[in-house]
Amino acid sequence: MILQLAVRNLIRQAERFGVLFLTLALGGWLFVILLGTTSSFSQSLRDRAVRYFAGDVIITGYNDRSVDRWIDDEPAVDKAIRDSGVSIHSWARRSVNYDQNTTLYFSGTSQRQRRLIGVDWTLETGRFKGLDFVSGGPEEMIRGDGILISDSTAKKLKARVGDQLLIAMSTKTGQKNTVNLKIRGIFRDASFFGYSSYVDIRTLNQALGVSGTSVSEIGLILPPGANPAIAAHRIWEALKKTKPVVDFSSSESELDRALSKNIVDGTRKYAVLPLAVRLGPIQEILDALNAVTWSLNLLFLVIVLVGVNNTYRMIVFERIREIGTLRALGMSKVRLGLLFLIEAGLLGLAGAAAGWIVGNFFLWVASLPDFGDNVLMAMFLKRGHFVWTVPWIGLFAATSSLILAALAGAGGPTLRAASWKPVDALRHEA
Amino acid sequence: MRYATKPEWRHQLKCIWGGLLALMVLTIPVWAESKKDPDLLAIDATATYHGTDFSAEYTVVQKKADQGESSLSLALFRRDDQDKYVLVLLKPDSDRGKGVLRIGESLWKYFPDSRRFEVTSAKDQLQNSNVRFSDFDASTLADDYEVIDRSKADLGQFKTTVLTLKATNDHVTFPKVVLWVTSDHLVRKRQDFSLSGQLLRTSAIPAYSKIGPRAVPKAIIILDELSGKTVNGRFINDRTLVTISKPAFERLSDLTFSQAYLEKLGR
Repeated sequence: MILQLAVRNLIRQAERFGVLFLTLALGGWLFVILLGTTSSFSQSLRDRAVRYFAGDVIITGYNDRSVDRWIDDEPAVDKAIRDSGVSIHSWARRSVNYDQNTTLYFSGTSQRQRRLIGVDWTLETGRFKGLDFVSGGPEEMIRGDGILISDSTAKKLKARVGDQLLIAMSTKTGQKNTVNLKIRGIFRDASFFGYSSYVDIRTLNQALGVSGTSVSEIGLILPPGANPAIAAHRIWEALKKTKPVVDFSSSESELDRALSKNIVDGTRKYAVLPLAVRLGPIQEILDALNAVTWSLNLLFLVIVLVGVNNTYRMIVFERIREIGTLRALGMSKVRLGLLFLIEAGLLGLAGAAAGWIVGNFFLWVASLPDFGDNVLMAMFLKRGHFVWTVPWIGLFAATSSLILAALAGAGGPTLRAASWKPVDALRHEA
Repeated sequence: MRYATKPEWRHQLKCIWGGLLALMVLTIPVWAESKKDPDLLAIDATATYHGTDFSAEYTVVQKKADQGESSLSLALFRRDDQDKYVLVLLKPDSDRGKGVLRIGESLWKYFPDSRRFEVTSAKDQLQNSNVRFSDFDASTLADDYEVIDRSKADLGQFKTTVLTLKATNDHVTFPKVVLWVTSDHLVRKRQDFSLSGQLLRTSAIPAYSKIGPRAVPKAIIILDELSGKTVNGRFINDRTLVTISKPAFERLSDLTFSQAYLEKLGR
């Protein structure tokens, strides 16, 4: 009954509630835009980073030389992962050449590479299909004679899919070595992840002069929603029982300190790193972006609260005679208060819903253009496009906050309205 | 006739074995030396300056197809008896005072702006050129390589022996080298190959300066076999021309081969 009354009041007095509705819808719209954008950036960046760094959790072995990272005892690492009980979606085995003198040559032109990453394609071909390929793809990489290069490298070398590149590098002992590989794919990637190329792990190991099965990093991809830091710590705890480890680190600066402290002789020590450690300054940018987003959301909530409170005071003032009539007809104070609160709650819900619809429409429109040439934005995009994601948990929290803000804003005026005596209310001239 | 008793016989046998063992140990260096190729030993002897210090000015002109020409000048001071050298950049002015110090297996780069020494590797390149720090070392071909093939070939006006070398350890930069050597054991041309057999660079030494019994290259032309540009259908390699001037053989102060010397010059 009260609900029906509230709905009827809202519909019949739509003009009166219009501004309030627009305020709440604007709040909802802003929440969707801010949360959706941040979520999209985070998701895109995480996807890129997981592919670049081999997983949400990375296990590697450090020696006294920073570029000399190998896992000497893979069975021990595998056992530690199993013993930790961490649930894993998939995993990766990689051999990574960090020597920045590694150079690609094509027809006399050269381009140095930040990293040359040897991938076990039996495990990761599917994941690489999600890379933004300009041409070609990872399907034939398992043959071992191919290379995937970034579009910036391809542009510099004036090379295309099918062309034969010469890769010049040094073996583990410093001897010059070269290998000829065919370009199987050219992918679009941002400067932070760019100037890195992907080859077959056996090919890279052979060129480095190490065993074909050598691994420098094991990457673990966790199920959605899993916390990489917690998972990494559990694996670290399990690994330290059997292998010397570097102190656990959850940030880049902590890792630097741990390496300075722990890597003091030739003993290889293992590190179990959550992805945030490898992201370094990019993670700090994301954290700052999240902090700004939630700060803005909080600010808008306060504005909405104040706005609803002021507007509802006016609305209650204008409806005093109505209040008097309802009280005179026998409606109790409690039911009257409930009526006004339900109106505010329904208004909050309607405003949030409208904000949702409009906000998601804007996100969808923003996902249409191709921003691929924008270097600054590129690392936050997928195939050059903004990714339209709906962060359900965040939006549920934001919507609930909006409704609560509407209720809180209407609460004060509602209590005052309910406390009016019917005779005084009927006598009031609006 | 008195025959040796049993204890005496045993003692004599011990002396004989001990003597043989001592003889073997003492002759190990001779054996090791004899395993080294005599041609490589001779080449090393002409390119290594024992009993004195060596100094010279080097001008390095780099011609890259996509970057034009750049040049730098440096002074080199070398003491082969102690496996040391110091290299000081003289030009361009922006790099003046930068240096490299090598003592045995240790190699440092010096930056005068920050007065900082940074550990580097002999395999690294000098200022992004085709010249490596190891190119300034004394020649150690006999220690690091074995000859796997010999042939004769004419190289312009020179009659040369072509030696194909294979590395005997995995620490040298180029696992395979081919040398064109004249009868006076001077290298006229050299090709450096990667582990997979790819030709990486070709060096030519057209002339030497003779200073007493020693020979110093007048110029070295290094062709980068991987980098270059196709112009009018013809591939023009990136190249580096190294000119060596004012070579001198005279004893230098011990202080020259120290970090303090580079710091003093940097000031």
